Amino acid sequence: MIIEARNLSKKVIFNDQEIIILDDISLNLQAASSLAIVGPSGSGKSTLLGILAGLDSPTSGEIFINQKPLHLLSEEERAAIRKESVAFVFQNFELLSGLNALENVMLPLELKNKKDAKDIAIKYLEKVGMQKRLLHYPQNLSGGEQQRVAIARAFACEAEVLFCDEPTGNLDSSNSEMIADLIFDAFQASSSALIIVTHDLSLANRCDQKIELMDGKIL
Amino acid sequence: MRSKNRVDGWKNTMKIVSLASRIFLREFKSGQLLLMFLSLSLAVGIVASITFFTDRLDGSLMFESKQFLGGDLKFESSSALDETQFPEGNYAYTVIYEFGSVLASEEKFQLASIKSISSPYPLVGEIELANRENIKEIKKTPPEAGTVWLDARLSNLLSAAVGEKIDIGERDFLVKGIIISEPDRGAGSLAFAPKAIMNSADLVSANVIQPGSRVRYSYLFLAPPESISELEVFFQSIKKPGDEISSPDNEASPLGRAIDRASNFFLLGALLAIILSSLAIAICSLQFTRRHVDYVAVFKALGLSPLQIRNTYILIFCFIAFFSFIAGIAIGWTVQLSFTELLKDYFPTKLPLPGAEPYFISFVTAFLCLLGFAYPMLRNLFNLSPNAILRNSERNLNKLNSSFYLIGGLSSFYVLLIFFIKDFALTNIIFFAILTFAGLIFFLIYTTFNFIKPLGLNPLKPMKMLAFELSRRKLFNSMQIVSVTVAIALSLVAYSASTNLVSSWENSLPDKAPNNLLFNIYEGQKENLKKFLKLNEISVEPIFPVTSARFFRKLSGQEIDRTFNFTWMKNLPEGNELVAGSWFQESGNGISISSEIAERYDLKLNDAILIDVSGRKIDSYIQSIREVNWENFSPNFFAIGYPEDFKEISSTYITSFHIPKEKEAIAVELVKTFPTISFISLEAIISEVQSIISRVSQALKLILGLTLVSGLFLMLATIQESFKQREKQNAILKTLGLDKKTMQKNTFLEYLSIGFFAGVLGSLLAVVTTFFIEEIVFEINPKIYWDVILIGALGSILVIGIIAALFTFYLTAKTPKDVLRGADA
Repeated sequence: MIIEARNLSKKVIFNDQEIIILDDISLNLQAASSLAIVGPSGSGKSTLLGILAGLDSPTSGEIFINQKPLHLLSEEERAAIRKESVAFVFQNFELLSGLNALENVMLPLELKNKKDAKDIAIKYLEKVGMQKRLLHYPQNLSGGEQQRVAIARAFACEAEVLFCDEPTGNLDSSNSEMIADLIFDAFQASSSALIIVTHDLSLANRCDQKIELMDGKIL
Repeated sequence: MRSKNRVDGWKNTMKIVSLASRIFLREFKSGQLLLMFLSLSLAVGIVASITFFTDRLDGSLMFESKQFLGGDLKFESSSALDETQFPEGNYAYTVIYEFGSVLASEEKFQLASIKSISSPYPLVGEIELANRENIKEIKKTPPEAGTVWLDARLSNLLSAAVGEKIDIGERDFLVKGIIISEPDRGAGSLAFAPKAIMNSADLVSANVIQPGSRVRYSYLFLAPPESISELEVFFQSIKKPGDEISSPDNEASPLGRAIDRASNFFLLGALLAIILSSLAIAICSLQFTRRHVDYVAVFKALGLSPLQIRNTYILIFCFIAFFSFIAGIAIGWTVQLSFTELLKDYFPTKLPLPGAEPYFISFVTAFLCLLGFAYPMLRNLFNLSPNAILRNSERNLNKLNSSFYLIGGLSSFYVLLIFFIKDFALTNIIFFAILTFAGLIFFLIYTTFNFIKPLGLNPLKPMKMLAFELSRRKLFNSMQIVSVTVAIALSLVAYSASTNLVSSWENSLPDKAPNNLLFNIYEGQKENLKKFLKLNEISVEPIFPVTSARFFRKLSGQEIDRTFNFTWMKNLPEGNELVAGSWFQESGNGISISSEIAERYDLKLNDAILIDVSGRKIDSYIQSIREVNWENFSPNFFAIGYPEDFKEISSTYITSFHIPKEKEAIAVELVKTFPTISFISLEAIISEVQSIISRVSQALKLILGLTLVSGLFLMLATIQESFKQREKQNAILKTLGLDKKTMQKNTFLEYLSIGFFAGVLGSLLAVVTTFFIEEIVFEINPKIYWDVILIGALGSILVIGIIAALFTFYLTAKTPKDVLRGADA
């Protein structure tokens, strides 16, 4: 089991009132399988993604990535797990504006001390059709192009789990389709597990499993 | 295993260095760090230029001063010391005996000052002599036994040339040279008497020192600083009233004194530049932090640990500090070269290269500016939640801790003030005054904006739009106006200092300062001299009686070891200020002494003393202590009595007066008419001092000019910051159809109004600050400079108008798409 979540809850205090964002969520995910998390806005999808990826901590419950108990680890230790085992694709692409496309993809590889970071980055950028835009900075790329660079960055890491937060949320329909194809092509060519948070049902339907959240609970 | 860990650690470090350098280079190339870099470089440059210059000058003056003193330490006493008691250490020393004696040639007798020396002498420098052929000779040893050196005056008075014989005490000596210059020429009571130098080996055979003879023993030491400290401690422990410990003092030269007087101005320039630059750095680092929130969110998602993120950003700021330091040192070096060029005619020796201190001070300046004004803001980045990558709301900097920023900035500002001012009380005055003024202005503006209650934003009505903008962002606008106000105020203080303050210093030596000194005027010549001067339309300064007097402590009967030039007068002389006691009344008066004498001989108010003057003994006491301005070129006295108490005492007279340039011939006429009166022209010294002051003023104006540039950087940073905030709003308004012209008009109007507010407030603040600086720091008569208010208000409207126009042009040239896609990119 690559991801195992048991009875996850997340509560926050807002204006002296306790708000339950996630309530008793349990789920499992095998290596090389995919999971879609769907639900309306405010249902807790992004919070769940954050907890599963080790970006956030649950109020209660347990979460394991590759048998490592994320809920017991310090931020320093969780950062190490994110570096080694996790990759992301975000709705807003989140490319560093100070780095060009190639440097953006090379960055996580360099952080992992990969010797041939540049070659790997070029290979993945070629896979997403960005070979002619290697030296372009994010602000000179369209939204679809930026997301392709982000996908190249995520898959180049060869992480055990790939988390996608609304990867087509900021794109038009033709770009959305193209990005979805790229994600699933790359996913199938890899051994990573894939978790996608999305409103896009066509994208969710391409996953092996699908859970729907409503008011912090799995329906 | 351990070596693998080491390799991994090294790889991780290199990874962070590579990441930090790439971000730094990218930021630098895109101009995002330019303003921070320029502000810091300029602050470091100003500090470096001043410290380089003063350090090099100190080195040069210290050497001259060491020569003047004759060593690293001098102990003078009226009694011989037991030299076996001197502490052990790594030093060389020599003993000099100075006494008065009558010298005789075949034709004449003359009372002279004799300096008796023995090897090793001189400890520093050399003695320049003219030989029989009037050719200069350099000596580094005392005269041979049986020979003496005379100064030219004594040689003339005795009519004894080189090669002739003179008598000192019970034996004769051969004159071997005429003294041109000597180290340790000193300024004792015998310093102006004709002088002879002999070898101490001849003292016994000449039998010139008898029991009861008044001999001044000087012990000169040459040693490394640690041994000098030990010797100073030793001499302090055995020092008696009248003994004197001297070490090289930079104030020995007119240039040293001028630089010392100018140091407050230099300090003011440096402080203003640092304050202005620090504020600019604070604003730039706010922009930097805002830009890098997204970076850190991505770094955290990619698995960079908090420590790695911290190290990356600290490294980026180390790069900024390093390059600003290098650029600042280059600026400082260039500026100090222009200082040295300005003043090269007045350096006593070739300027040495600066030591490590200027580099250290410049580095500390850069470091503290960044630590206090950039780090606290940067620290907010480290505290960003990893979840911020998913939630934009968690990237909002307004939610982050600003109290740490405030505390960090203020602490750093305080430490910088202490570091530069080195005066706790003055630091507190400046620190709390700035804080209070800034707080008051903020409160005033914020309250005003709070009263404006506009209804909605209507870009087609500029005044409504203006009211909306000012009130909607009242907190930011208030801070912005405070920041621009401070920039304007401090720039105006620099401007005011470079014109009004420096002028008042330049004029401290009036045009009609006395340029001639007359002494040895006898009673019978007084009236004729007055008539002569009146006839030639020369205004006469007071003519003071002067005689020598010896003082004894009444209680112990012990002599205060010094013969003083003593005078008496009814009124407190010009340039003197009472620091203790009261000035003379009609009766019951004592004497007034200078603060130097009070300190050196441990004399206190009301101490009873006996004055031995012209063979008469007069009971008296210390009635007052005066601070004397020794630089006003008028006769000044260590001790003054009340005329009624000394009316029976015979004396000669001394006076000074100003002869205008066009009447220079009068001086020659005066010497011819009164051949027995001693006449000294001070013209050369005065013009040298005036010239030095004028050159140092030019150097000051350069520094204060650079400070104005710092003010401009702060204004730029502030306005740039507010433009960033307006960029997105303008883009949206553009997409809603607002035309370019209206947008330009609105933006321009808003900035002009900010310029006007800040200009008026800044000018008022500058006038008040200058008033207090004159009153407290420079201790001169403070004035209100109305022109500063006018220049400040109009100048700031103009400068801010130009900056705003440039930014407006830049903003409106961008398409909304560019702005909305990457406003902060």
